[in-house]
Amino acid sequence: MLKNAKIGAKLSIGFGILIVVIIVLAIVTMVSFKNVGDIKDELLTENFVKFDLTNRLSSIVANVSIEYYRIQNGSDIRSSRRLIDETVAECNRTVESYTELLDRNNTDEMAIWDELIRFRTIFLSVAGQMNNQIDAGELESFAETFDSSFDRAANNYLTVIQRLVEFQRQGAYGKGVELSGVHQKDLLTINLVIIIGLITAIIFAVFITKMITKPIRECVDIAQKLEKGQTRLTIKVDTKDETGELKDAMQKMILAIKSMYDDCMYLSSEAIEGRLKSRADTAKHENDFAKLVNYINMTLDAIVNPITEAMEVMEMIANKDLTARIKSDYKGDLLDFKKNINLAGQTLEESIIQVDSNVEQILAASNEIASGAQSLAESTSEQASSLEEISSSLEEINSLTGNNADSAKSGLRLADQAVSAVEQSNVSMEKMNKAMDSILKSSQETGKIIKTIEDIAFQTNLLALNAAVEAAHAGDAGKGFAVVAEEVKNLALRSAEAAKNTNSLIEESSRNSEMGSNIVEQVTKSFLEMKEQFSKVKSIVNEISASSDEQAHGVNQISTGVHEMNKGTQQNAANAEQSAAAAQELNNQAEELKGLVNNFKVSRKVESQNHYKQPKNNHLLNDRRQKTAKIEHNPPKALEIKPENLLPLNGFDDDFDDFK
Amino acid sequence: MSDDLIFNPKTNEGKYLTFNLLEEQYGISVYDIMQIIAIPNIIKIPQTPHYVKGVINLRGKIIPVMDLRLRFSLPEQEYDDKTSIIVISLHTISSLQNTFQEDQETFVGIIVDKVLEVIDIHANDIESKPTFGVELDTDFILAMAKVKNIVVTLLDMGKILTSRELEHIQKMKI
Repeated sequence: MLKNAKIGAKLSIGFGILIVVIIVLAIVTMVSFKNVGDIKDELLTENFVKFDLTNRLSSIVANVSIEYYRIQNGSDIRSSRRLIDETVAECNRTVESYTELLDRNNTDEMAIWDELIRFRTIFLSVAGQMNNQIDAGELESFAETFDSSFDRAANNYLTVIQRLVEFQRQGAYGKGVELSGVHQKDLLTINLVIIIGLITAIIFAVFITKMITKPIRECVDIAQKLEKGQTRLTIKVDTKDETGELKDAMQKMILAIKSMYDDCMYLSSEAIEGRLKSRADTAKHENDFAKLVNYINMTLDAIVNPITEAMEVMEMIANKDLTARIKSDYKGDLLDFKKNINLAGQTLEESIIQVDSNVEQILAASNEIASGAQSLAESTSEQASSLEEISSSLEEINSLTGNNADSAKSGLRLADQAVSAVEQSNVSMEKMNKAMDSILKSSQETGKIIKTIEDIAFQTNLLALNAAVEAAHAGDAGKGFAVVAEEVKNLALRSAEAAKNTNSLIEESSRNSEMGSNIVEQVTKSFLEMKEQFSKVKSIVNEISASSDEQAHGVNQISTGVHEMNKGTQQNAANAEQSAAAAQELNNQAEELKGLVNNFKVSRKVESQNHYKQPKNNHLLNDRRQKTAKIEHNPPKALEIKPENLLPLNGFDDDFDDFK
Repeated sequence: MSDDLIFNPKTNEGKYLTFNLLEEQYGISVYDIMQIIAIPNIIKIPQTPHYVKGVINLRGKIIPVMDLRLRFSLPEQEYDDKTSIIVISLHTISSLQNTFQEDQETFVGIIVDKVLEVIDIHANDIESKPTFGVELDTDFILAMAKVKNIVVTLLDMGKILTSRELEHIQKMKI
């Protein structure tokens, strides 16, 4: 069948059909052209030539008749005669031409032709007779012949010719009609062939194309689905050509992938369900697929082995053997797995060892606690008696504190008085300072005046000298004047002297007042310092007073505290007894724990040395007693507060006396 | 003070104005002196010898002044209220060969530490000036006088101001 043919064969069949259609079309076309051509040839070479010849013959005969008519009517005989000869010759040639073309099979034509030949012969004989008469010059006989026989002969002849013309005309028309009919028919045939061929070609083209592309399309669809991860696919193999082979190959490929997928899924689901021993059969696969499945098997092996070993180790640990470890070698994360398991085991073992040693320590400690509790009980009773003593001392301190506060209050009063006295002195000093300042100022003013006096004395001296010079210039006339000048000069010198003396005195007084001013300043400063010191004294005395109050309060609190302590001490004694009992209990528990720990198998053991012993009370008690005694002999030094340490009181006692 | 003691060029006897210059006393003949004044405002003049301090305006007269300390190459001193100017009139100086400007009176102020007094110096108190050898110019010293046990150096103002300096001063006087 066509379905099972190769694609090449299918294509060949398709193109073959197309070629056949084209050949048929060509043959039909050629045949119809040939028919049309034949009819056309017949029409052109036979009918039209014959028609032409007969027509010409008709006109020639008419021309001969006309020439004879002209001769009869007396025109130029000679030229007409020559024309007649020529025309007859032509007529003969035309008849001969026609004879060659004559269709002997056509009876109708032949019948007309025979009649034509008969009338022609008559016509020619008449014409010959007439020609002879003309040549002989027997024009009368010619006219007679012309009138009697020629007219008839010519008419008959022309009539036959006309019949032949008509016959030929009809023949040509018949051929034309025939040609038209053949042409129509052939055209129809060609169109029919074209339409049939076209339809056949299209049908085959579509059919063959479908047959080739459809299976390929199916394969492409399957490949696309596979690419999107679908493996549950089937292909129907229904042809045996190349597309069939392609489908078959794809079917096998899908089966291989599906089988590999199934195996992978199987292994994974088994692993998920915890059945780690399941394995896939590699023989079902080939090449890389087999390798892949094999590797998955190997992967499972690699994971399962350490887990199995770890399970064994864990079981051993569960059975209290803490020395169990994973011994096989693993790689990568499994190495970490192994390390971690081993580390867990090791840590557990070490912890147990540690617990063991701790239990030992607890045993020792509980022994200590027991003995400690015992001694605590005894020291507590001693503490109680000490507290009694403290309480009586506190009473004494309280009364001393009251005295202290009283002294501080009187001190405060005295300090106040001192401060106000100092303030008064300060005011007086300020006044004095102002007085000194004004003395200094007046001294400076006086100095200025003295300076002016000195200036005047100098000018006067110069004037006196000038006067003396002038007097000398004047000679004798200036003598008296010179004496006056001398006197003036002396006066000037004396006033300068006096001014100088006054100046030195004023300078001294100004120096003195400056000194006084400085002293006043110093005194004022001292007074201010004194005032400040007294303020300090006051605040300190205040503080002392306040501290005394606080001290009294504090002593009260201490008293209450001591009372509380006394109560607490009683409680302590009871607690110590309880502690001793608890220590014993703890020791028992520790022994029990030790027994439990010993059940574990570990790589090293702690040797037990501690068992509960009754504490050696006497020895421990002596120690405690000594320590307590030490505390009693060294009361805290912080209580020794001396006033010297707080205040720089030295040197102030004298001043204090002054203000009393 | 004798009554008719006038300047005698031979003996140098006459009235002298004494003044102080660095502890020492000097004397100038009163005939050379025009006036004694306290130190006024001195207007400085450029391009003059260092001892010429400038000019002063004395009642409309422009008078050049020089510092005698500087002229005698003594250490300069700040002026105080004792410092005075002695204005000297030059055409009366007999020893000066003033070949030019004979009729014109030329005034020069000299700055001294302190003016003392006008005294009479008699011929018997005067001794001729000492000689220190040829190389030392002592021309400006007129003579040495002893007054009350103090030695007073009498100065010849004409010699102090050499002709060149005088010319200079003349020019300044414009």
